[in-house]
Amino acid sequence: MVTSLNSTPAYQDYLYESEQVISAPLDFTAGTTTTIGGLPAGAMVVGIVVVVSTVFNGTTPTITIGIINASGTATATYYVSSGTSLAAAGVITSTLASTALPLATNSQVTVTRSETGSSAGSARVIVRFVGP
Amino acid sequence: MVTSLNSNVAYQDFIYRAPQVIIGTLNFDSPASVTIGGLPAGAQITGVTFITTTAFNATTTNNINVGIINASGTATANYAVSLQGIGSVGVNVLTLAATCLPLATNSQITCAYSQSGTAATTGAGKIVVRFVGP
Repeated sequence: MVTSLNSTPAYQDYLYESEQVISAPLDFTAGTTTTIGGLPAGAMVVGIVVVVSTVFNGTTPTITIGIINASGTATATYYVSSGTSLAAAGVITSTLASTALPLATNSQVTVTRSETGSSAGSARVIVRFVGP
Repeated sequence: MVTSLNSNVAYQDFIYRAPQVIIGTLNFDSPASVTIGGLPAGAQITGVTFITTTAFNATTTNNINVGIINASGTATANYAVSLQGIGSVGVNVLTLAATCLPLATNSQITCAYSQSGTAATTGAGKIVVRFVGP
């Protein structure tokens, strides 16, 4: 009997020597942690932009961006630890954490919301990266 | 008898209208100038990021230059980036130099670690040069 399936997102890399992106929507109905894509070992994130099209109206709406590594260990603040605010509309460049280093293993990329109580809010998270 | 061979790195451009990257490695004990790739005439560097994975520990300054060697063999070590700091672990988005203009000739892209004070005994990272084709 099959007891486990690969249910994680594919690890993205199209092998051309160019910058690539993970681009994923996020709205106020999302859970605390949302997996927005997967990256192969060695991939390097070079920038993250959050585009807030509808303001999140809960209490101090912020997100961190992290990983779940191949062993299943989650580090919710691996890429962005300072908390990017979703309280104002526009294009917001996240500050990368000092831990945002080349990935040691294939990893899922996650967005974690710290806010509570939003009844509105819509954004897109764009993670710029290069392959190994 | 063959007296010269093209031993330069290939000039990279995949022709699609999209940003591309050259990725290289630079350590504290790398050679004085490291060639990380080649670009065709007309290519424009639009950004350089250095991801420091191990801190460079020279006591005073830990900087990088990113430059070119043009088709005539003339080196300009700080053509794209001039003495930007890379000492601390993390993602360092480097400021481009005013000389970082479209390339006049096919050129090799070089980078160099520049330090002062007591010499470094550690330091490693990856450089990502973002560019668009002619």
